[in-house]
Amino acid sequence: MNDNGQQLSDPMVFTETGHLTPEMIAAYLGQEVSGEERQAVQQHLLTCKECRVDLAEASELGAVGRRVRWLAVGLPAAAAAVLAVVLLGPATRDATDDTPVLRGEQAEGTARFKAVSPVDGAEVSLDSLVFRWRSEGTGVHYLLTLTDENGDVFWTAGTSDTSLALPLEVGLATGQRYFWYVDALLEGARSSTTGVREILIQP
Amino acid sequence: MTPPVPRQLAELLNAPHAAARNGAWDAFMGEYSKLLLRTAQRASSSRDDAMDRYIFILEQLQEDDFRRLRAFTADGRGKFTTWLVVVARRLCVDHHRSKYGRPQAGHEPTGANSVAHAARRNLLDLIANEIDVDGLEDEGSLHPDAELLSAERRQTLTAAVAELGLGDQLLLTLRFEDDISVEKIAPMIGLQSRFQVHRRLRHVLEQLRRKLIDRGMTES
Repeated sequence: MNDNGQQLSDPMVFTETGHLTPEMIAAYLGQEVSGEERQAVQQHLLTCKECRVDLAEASELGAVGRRVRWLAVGLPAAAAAVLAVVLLGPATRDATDDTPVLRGEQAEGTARFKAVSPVDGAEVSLDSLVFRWRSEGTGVHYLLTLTDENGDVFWTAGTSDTSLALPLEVGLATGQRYFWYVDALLEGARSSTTGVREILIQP
Repeated sequence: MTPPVPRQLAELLNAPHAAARNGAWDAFMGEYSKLLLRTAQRASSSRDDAMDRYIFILEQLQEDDFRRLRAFTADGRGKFTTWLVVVARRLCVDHHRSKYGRPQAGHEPTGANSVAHAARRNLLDLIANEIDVDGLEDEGSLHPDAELLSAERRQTLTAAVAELGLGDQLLLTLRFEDDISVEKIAPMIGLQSRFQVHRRLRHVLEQLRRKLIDRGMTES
């Protein structure tokens, strides 16, 4: 039994002290766990604040590594992700179904639409920085997110338009790299994204 | 598919002699020192504290011929950076405990008590904020003992939450007990965007509302 009174039956899931193993947290975040393991992990997380903090930190900081690696790998990885969605097929979700349908959520989240400008990797001037993207139809709400190199959100703004100018008060540092992406909230509880684009602010 | 062991880690663990090991350690640190430092910083309240923990992490990772790092290959699932953050964070906790001792038992609610505690503390707030439970009225609304009524409502809510799926209970816990933003919650529960978390939350809260009404609470 662990500190929380739970039965510990699987050493791959729990450490000797009754917490989730780092491997299991990494596998859970990477969605590489079986249904049974996912249940065991979530059951434990409900009652273990310490593991929830581990999970939050790993999710956030681990994502920095993942994001940088994704950007470094570039198109092949993105293409592989899209291909995976195509191979897995579109998934639908019953709004009344209360069990998480992760494959469907992933597939729906990976849908893409085109970011127009600035182009990926562009050097841009602060006084003319306007983000533009293709329309995903009428009545669509867009959310633009700008992050720094560590993946920390620097600025975010919503609009129904297909462009947003960077407000003057958002102080980007010259010579620094930033990353931006737009999420579109579509009808029928679907969403799509432009994927991450990189910009370099001109000195 | 088993993810590959990162090159810097493989070179470190397979270094044939001390000189090669030193070079491989430098390369490993070149790749991961920033991540380890950030982990130490986030677990610390001051710069000195962070540097103490950072050094402790490095010492512990090197200990016994990189015993901890070798453990990564034992399972092989998940991203190495994610795994490394958890290991580093737990080393920070060890460091803190070695310095200040363990917290006294009873300071942190555990097990089923934790759920009940969380429910008592937050979920009524959640309902009040999200589905306007103040606008809900039941047969006991005219009861003079408001505290008793409030306790009954909490009990009802706790029971309703316990009927939700594990994933949805976790979502509520992360959002309303741990106060984590929807953006950060998304990867923690396998969703891709904050929109999906918002939608899931709306759905769960609607479910809760229905359950409360089923239990005799009615909208005023």
